Amino acid sequence: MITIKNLSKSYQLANETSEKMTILHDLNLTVGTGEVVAVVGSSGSGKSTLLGLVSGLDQPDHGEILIHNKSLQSLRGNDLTNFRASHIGVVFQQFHLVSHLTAYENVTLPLEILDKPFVKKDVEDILKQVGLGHRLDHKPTQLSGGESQRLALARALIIKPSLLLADEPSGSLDAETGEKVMNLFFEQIRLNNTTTMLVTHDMDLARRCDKIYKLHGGKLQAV
Amino acid sequence: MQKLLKLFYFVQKDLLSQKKLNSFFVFNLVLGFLGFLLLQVFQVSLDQQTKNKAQEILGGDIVISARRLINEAEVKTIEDKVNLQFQKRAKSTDFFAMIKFGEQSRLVLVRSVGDNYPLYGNLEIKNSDGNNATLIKIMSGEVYVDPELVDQLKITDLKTANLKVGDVDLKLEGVLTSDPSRTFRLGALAPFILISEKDLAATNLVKAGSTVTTSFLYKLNNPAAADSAKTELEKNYLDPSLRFSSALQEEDGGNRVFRYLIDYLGLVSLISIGLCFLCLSYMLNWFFQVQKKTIAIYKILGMPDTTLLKVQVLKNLILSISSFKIALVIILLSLAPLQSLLDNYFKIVIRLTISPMQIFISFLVVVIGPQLIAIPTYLAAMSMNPLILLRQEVSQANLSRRLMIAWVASVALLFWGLAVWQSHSIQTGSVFIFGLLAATVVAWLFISSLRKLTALFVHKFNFELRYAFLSLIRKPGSTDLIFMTMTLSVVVLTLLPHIKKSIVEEVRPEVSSKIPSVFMFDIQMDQKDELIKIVKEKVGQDLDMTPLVRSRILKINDQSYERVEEQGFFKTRESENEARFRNRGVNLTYKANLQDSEELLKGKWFSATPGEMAEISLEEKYAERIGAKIGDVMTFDVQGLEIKGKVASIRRVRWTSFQPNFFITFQPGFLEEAPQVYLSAVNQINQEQVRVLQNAVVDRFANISIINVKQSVEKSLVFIDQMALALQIMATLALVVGFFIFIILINTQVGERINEMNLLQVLGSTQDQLYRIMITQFSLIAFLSLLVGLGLGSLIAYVIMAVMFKLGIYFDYVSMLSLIVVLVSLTFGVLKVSMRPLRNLQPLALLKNEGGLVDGK
Repeated sequence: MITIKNLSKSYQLANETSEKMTILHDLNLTVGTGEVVAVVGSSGSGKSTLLGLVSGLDQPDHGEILIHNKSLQSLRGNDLTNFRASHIGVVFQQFHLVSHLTAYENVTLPLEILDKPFVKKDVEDILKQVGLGHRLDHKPTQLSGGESQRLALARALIIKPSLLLADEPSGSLDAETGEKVMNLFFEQIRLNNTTTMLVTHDMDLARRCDKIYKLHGGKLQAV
Repeated sequence: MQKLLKLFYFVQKDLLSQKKLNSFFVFNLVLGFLGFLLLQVFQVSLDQQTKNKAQEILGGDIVISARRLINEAEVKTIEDKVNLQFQKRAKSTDFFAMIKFGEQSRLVLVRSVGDNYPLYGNLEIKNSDGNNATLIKIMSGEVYVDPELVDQLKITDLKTANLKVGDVDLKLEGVLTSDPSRTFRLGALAPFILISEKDLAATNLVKAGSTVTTSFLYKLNNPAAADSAKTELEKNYLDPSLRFSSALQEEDGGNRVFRYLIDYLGLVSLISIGLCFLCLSYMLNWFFQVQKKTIAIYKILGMPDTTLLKVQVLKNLILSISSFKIALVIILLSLAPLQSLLDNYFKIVIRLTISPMQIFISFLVVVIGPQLIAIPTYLAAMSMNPLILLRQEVSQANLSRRLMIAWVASVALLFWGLAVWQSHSIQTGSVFIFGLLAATVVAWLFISSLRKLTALFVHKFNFELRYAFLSLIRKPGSTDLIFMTMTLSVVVLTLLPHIKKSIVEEVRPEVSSKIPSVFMFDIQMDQKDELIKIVKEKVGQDLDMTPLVRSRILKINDQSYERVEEQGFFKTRESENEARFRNRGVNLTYKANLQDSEELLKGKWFSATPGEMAEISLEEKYAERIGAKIGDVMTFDVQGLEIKGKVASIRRVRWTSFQPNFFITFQPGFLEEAPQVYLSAVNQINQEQVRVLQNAVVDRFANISIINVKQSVEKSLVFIDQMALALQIMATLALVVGFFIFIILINTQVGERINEMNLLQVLGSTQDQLYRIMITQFSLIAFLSLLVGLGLGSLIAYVIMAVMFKLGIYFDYVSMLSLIVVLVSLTFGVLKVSMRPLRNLQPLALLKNEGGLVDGK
C-alpha cells in the first residue's frame, strides 16, 4: 500500500557553505493496507522530516514514495495537491484548526476545497463518532485540547483517506485526555481500516500499533 | 537607579524582539502627526508675525478708524478727551474707485495717505527705472500700484504711464513690491494703489455716503500703553461706527482669511490623528497578542503588575518620543520648500518658524494620546492570568462596561479639546467632532448590518467566496477597522471636491444666468438719472437702483446695542467675529417688493401703506445673530436722526446671486429723505459690452465703482482653488494614513494567517485558490469602503451645502471618478505586494509549528 524506496533527505547547515546534514539515508519501508505503524525516535532523528516527505509536503533528494502504486515524485503542482488532499489525512500535534470556522465547518473544509459533495448527516455522524455531536456550532476557541484534537481527527477522516499520518497526536494533551483521544483514534482507524503512520515518542502508544519502527541514523529499524 | 536600569533592560528586550511591530508603531504615529505639527508651524508663524510686526500690520501702535469720513476736528476731540500722548500721527483714506489707463479701466482699492505714512515698516517699490527702492514719501501727482495692475492695464512702459484716478492724472512712479500692512493679498477684491492725500480732493472720488474707511494711525510716546489707551477710548466712545485698534490685538483681514484656512486645515489634520489612533489601538492589541506569553512568563517568574505596567508605559513612551522626533525633523526639513511654496504660489508673506512652546504642546499630544489609547492594553496585561501558558488561546481581557465608557469618553474628550484648539471655535470644533462621530457611527452601523445580513445567505456562495466572506464576518474587529479607516479617508477626500464644485457652480456667471455681469456702487443721487441713460444707451438695459443708507443700531427693544470689548486669553473665532460685528455700522435699504434672490421665511411683507412706525425685514442669520425676532423694535441712528423700525418679517437671502442684497430692509416711506447712495447691477452682457460700459461710466462719473463680476468671480475661483488645494493636500495625508493602516492590517492578517493558508494547502487548496480567497476578501472590504465613503461624503456635502447653507449641490463626478481610479489602482497594488507571502507557503511548517489555532485571533 505504502512503499518507500531508498529515501534520502539532507539539509544545508545554517552558516555553512557546502556542508549538508543527512537526516534520512536510503530509507525503505512498506506498510500494508489497513496496517498501523508507529515510528519512534529521539528528537532530531528525522521523524517530522519523514512525515513531511510521506505527506507529499516535501521532496526527497533521492528515492521514491508510492501510495496506491502512485509515485508522489511523479506528481507536480496542483496534481500533487489534489492527490494529497484526496488520499492523505494528517493529524497534527498542535491540532491546526481554523479559529473562525465552527467545528462543523472545520470538518467540511477539506470537502469544500476538493469540491466534493457531502451530506450533512455524514458530517454530523463523524462528529458524533468523535464525541462532538453536541459541539457542531462551537468554534475551536470554545473547545478543550482533547476536543480540539478529536475535531482534527474528524477532519482528517472525513475524506476517507487511504493513508492517515499522525504527528504526536497526543503530544499536546494531558495523560488522561491523551489516553481518551488515542482510544478514539485507534477505534476510528480500525473501524475504517485506515492505513496509518503514527509518529510518537510514547512507547506505550507505539505498542498499540501493528508494527514499530525506530528511526535512527537516517534509517528505520523494526523494533 | 538600579530599578530604573532594570526597567530599561526589559524595555530594551521588548523593543529589540519586535522590531517590525515597533517600526509600524513609529511610522504610524509619524504619519498621523505630520499634518498636526505642520499646522502648529503655520499657527505659531502667524502668531509670531502678528506679534513682531503688529505695528507694521496695523500701521501704528493704535488706530482710530471708521467706515465713513472722519474729520480733523472729530479726531482732535477724541485725542484730547483721553489725553492721547503720541510722537507722530498719519492718516489714510481707503475707498474703491475706477481708474483708467488708455482704453483700459479697472476697479482698484485706493489708499490716500498723508505725511508720516507709514509710521512703521517700509514700503518697498520697484521704481519706473526698474530699480528696487524704499518709498519714503508719496508726493502729490504720484501713484504707486500693485504689480498685477500693471498687467491688467497692459502698461508696458512704466516711465511714461499716467493713470486717470477720478478727475486727476497721476504719474505712475513705481510698483509696490512689499507693503507691511498687507501680508495676504490673494483674496482681495481689487488691486491696490497708493496716492497722496493732497490729491484726494482733486480726484473728486469721495463724496457724501461713499464707501470709505478713514484711519488715523498713531505712534505713541509709550507703545506699551496702546492697549490701555484702546480700553480708555472704547469706554469713552460707545459709538460703534468708530473703531479703536491696538497693535497687539489686531491683524489684517487677509491674515484672518488665512487663519480660517489654517483652522480648517487643523480639523482635517485631526482626521489623520484619529485614524492614526485607531490604527494604534489595533497595533497595541496586536502587540499584546504577540507578547502575552512573554508577559505571562514574566508574571509567573514574579514580576509585579506595577513593574509590568511601567515597562509597557516606558516602551510606548520611547516609541512615541521617537515618532515625535522623526516627525519634527521631517517638518524642520520641509520648512524651506514650504516657504518657497508660500512665497511663490500662495503669495503669503509669512516667515515659517516653530516655537518651543508649540513643540512642547505637540509633544504632549503625541505622548499623551498613545498612552490614553493604550489604557485597555495596559489593563489587559495587568489583569491577565499567567495560566494562559497552560491554555491554547486567550483573547484580550475585556474592560468592564464602565471602564470602557470612561475610556471612550476620555478619547472623545481629548479629540473634542483638540478640535476646539485647532479650529479656535467651540461651535466649529463641536460640529466637526459630532460630524465625525456621526459618520463613524453610520459607517459602523452599515458594516455591522451588512455582516449580519451576509451571514444569512453566505452558505449559498461557492467555496472561495464563502471562505472570503466568512473571514470578514467572523473577524469583525479587523474587518471594521479596515472599513472604518478607509471609509473615513474617502469621505474626507470626497467631501472637499463636492463643496468646492458647488461653490464654483453657484458663483460662476456663465453657469448661473441670475448672476449679473456688472455691479456698481457709490452712485450719488444726482448721478442716478444720467447713469440710467448711459446704461440704456450702451447696453440697452433698464437699470434698477437700490438705495443704500448708512446708519448704526442704537437699541433693540430699548436695550442699548453697544460695542463689546475684545478680551481674554483664548479668544474663539466667534468672540472675535462678535466684536467685529458689533463694532461697525449697518447699511439699510428700502424697497416695496422682495427680489428674486430673497425668500420670505417668517412674518409678512410690508403693508402697502406706511403706518406710524416703519416695518423692517431682517435676513435670517443676521436676525439670529443680533437676537431679534418678529415684533421687536430696533432704533437706528441715520446721520444723527433716530428712526425706529418694527421687525415685520425674516428673509432668506441668496448672497451668491451678486444682486444688491441687504441685511436690513425698510418699508418705503421712511428713509427716502435720508442721505443715500445707490447700488445697481447690469445683467448678462458680454465682456466687450462690459468694457464699453465701464469706460463710459468712468469717463462720466469717476467716483462710481464698477465690479466686473466675471473677473472678480474668476479671481475668487483661483483663490477657492488654492484654498481647496491646501485642504486637499491635508485630506490626502488622511488618506495616506488610511492606506498605511490598510497595508498594516493586510500584512498582519496575511502574516497571522500564513498557518491557516498552509493548512488549507495541506487540505488541498491550490496557491491560486488561496490567492483568490485573500484577494477577494480584502478587495471586498476595500471597495465597499470606497463605495460607502463616496456615498457618505456626497451625503455630508449635500447636508452642508443644501441643508446648512441652503445652496444648490453640484457633485464633482470627475473628482469622484479620479478618486475611484486612484484608489482602485492603489488597492490592487497594495494587495498584490501584500499577498506575496502566499506565493511562498511552506505547509511543512505545520509539522514544526507552535500554537493550536492557525489564524491567531
